Amino acid sequence: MKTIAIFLIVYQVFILLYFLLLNITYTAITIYAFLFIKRSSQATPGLSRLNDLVSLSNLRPISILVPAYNEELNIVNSLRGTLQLQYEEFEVIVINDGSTDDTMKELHQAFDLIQIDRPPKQVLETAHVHTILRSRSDPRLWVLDKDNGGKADALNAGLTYSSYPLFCAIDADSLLESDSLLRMGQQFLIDKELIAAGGAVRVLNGCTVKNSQVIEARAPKGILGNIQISEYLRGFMTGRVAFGEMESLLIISGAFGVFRKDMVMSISGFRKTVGEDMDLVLRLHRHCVENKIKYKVRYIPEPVCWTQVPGDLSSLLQQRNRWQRGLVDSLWHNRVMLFNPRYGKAGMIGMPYFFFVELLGPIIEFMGYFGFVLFFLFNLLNPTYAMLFFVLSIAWGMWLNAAAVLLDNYALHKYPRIRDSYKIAILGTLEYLGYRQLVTVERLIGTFQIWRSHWGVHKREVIVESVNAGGKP
Amino acid sequence: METIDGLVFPALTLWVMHAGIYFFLASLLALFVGLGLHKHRVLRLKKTHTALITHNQEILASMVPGSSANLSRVETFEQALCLAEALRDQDYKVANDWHAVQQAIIDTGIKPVLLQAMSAGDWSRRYQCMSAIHDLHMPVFFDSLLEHALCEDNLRVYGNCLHACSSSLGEPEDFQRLSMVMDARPELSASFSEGVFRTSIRTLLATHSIDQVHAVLAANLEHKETSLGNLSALILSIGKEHIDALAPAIVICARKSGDTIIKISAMRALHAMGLCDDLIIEGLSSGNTIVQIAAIRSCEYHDGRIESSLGTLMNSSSFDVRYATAMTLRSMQERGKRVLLEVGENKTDPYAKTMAAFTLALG
Repeated sequence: MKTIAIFLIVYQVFILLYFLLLNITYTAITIYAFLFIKRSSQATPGLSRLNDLVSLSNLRPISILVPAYNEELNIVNSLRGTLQLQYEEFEVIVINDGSTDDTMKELHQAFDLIQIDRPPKQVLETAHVHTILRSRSDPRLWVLDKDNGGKADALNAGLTYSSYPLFCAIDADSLLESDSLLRMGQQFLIDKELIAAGGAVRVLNGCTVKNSQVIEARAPKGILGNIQISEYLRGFMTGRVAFGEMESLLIISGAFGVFRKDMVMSISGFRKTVGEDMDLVLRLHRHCVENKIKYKVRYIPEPVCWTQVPGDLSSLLQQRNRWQRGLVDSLWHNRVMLFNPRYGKAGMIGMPYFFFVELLGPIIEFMGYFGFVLFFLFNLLNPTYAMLFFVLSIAWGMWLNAAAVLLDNYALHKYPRIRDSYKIAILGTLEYLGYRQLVTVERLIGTFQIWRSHWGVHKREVIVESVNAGGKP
Repeated sequence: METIDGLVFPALTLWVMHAGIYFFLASLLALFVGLGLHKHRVLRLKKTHTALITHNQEILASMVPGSSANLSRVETFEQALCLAEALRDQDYKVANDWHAVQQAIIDTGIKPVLLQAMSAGDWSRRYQCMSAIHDLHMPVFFDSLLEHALCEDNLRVYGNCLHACSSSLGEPEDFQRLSMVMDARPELSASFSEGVFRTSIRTLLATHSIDQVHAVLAANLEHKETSLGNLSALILSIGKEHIDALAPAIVICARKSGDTIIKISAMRALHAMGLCDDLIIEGLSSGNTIVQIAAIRSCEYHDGRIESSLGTLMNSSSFDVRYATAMTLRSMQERGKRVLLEVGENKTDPYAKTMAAFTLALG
């Protein structure tokens, strides 16, 4: 009996310490990000000044890679937005990864495609590319029609046919802000050591869209969308900013990232995994350190990509399961970096964070919930302590959410209406009343399903264009 | 039996947890109130600033030569930013006596406020200060800016400082001084040089005669110590600002330099002016594919004898050369279409034929 009691005490202390460490880390990250972003936002040039500031002719041309699998609903809208980007020289390469729906038909109809024999610029092993097409209505648009091979394979196919020294990987259901590429290109122009940069990814659901551009950011109607906005704000406005400034950024979202092609080609492109975005950044870190190349991987908050988040619980859980599998696989494949001083801050700060917080997080959090139920069943629970702990964890979590929303408002003013900000902040706090627990369980399942390479079926929603843009809903 | 929680958490922990909950709930409330107050403050400031900017704009617009202005006194950095914003994108030089406007601005006391901000420890303040000086277009800041450009470590501020210099040029000779300061840090300045040179050219053209501006630009093209990056940017800037009179000087400069980047910049500059020179024709047969493609992309304005050369280039073994040639022929409309039809019908080279067919299909 005594042994069991000691075990349970250790168990509880462990959970408590983990909880404290985790939340202190989150709080420190939020404060650090706040200090940086406050300055950065005051020194963000407007578009006209940005055009004057940079040597436009010196901007390195960019190939935009858009992997598409069953994207018939949004591909045309998304590409129209992409083709409106303000940038001196870019090409858009859509890689139809063996879609079984009408993605190709939509592309043919909207962009008047014709076939061309174009040899690959470089060689990466990918599934067979049947046809290469070019748009008659916009010569910057190319389409590769290939066998299904997964997102990493599609991106590698895009890379082999891309012409330019930088490439930008985006999702086919996302909309880039018109100055986003220019802001990214400017960073690569100014900082010669920059090899990869990620932009902000924001939630498109609920926003007012006109001519394939987000003209007003709004909070969506449902609780699920608002919780995800507060999650994204916490992730991008605090986590990525802080890790980027600490030179230990290990992930650039697959929805919007710009990379130097020569560096990516030198590590043979994307590795076929469901977490291809994180894996690529980790391998770039390793490659540069191991070959003594001076480099930087940065997060830049000003360029924005608006992306659709799952509108139903099933798609959301599948997405989180996939993210967790990708995380575990990427960390395992690059485990040599963990606590290895050779890899600098990426090995000593970034990797331990991802290992202890992101990978072990769901396991320990689940242990906490499980312990709670167990103690309750065996009448080992002191209701006062349990309630206090529960309230403290929720209050701390709500504070972190609200701080991220405030930080976003303070620095970037993306949501012009005060009620949208409040809606996100308040509904976001509901994350701790069921949503987080569900996601934790799904992530836990994902942790132990690393062998699964299935992407999952994400239920798409069509991007709705506003007829009377700017008006009240 | 004592509960596990009771063993783990002594009374002190209980107290700490209570304190933690109160702290987070109170600060959560503060954050929510702060969010509202912040939005309110932003709106109020925007309103105040807009009123001040409009007031300044009205006074500046109503000034007539010889009159004195009643601009608001500048005592804070924020007021300086508002005055500068009133001048953004406004051409008071044409409508009024620019010297009188400048004097009126100086009389507000803006200069010491901005000079102080220029040396602030906070880089975002220095950045905003440079943006304001850029909007003011006043040569009184030029010397301080040049000095600052030599020692500024923050890249964003450095770029903005050069940009402010370019709109504060007083005399044509200042262009040379700015160019020298940029050459002192060629690695840093190369990223901004084209934007800086283009704005400088526009600033000088607004206040000086064309001949004076041409003379100083020609002198810079001949200057031997200009870094390659900056020289390339200067050539491109001249092209994009359509200073056609300097086309021969650009060609001479490219031939003298012999450098690939300078040659390519010269070709692009000539193309931007809508001109074509032997430099481009020679580039069409260059052994360097990069030069060759630049020449192909720049030759569309040539009259007459270019088509046969382009027809031959359609047989190139390089896809990139064939593609660039086809696109140039496409941009030449009827002239190009004829060549594409010939290539499509007569040539035995299947690659050339396919490319021609593809280009014709593009319409």
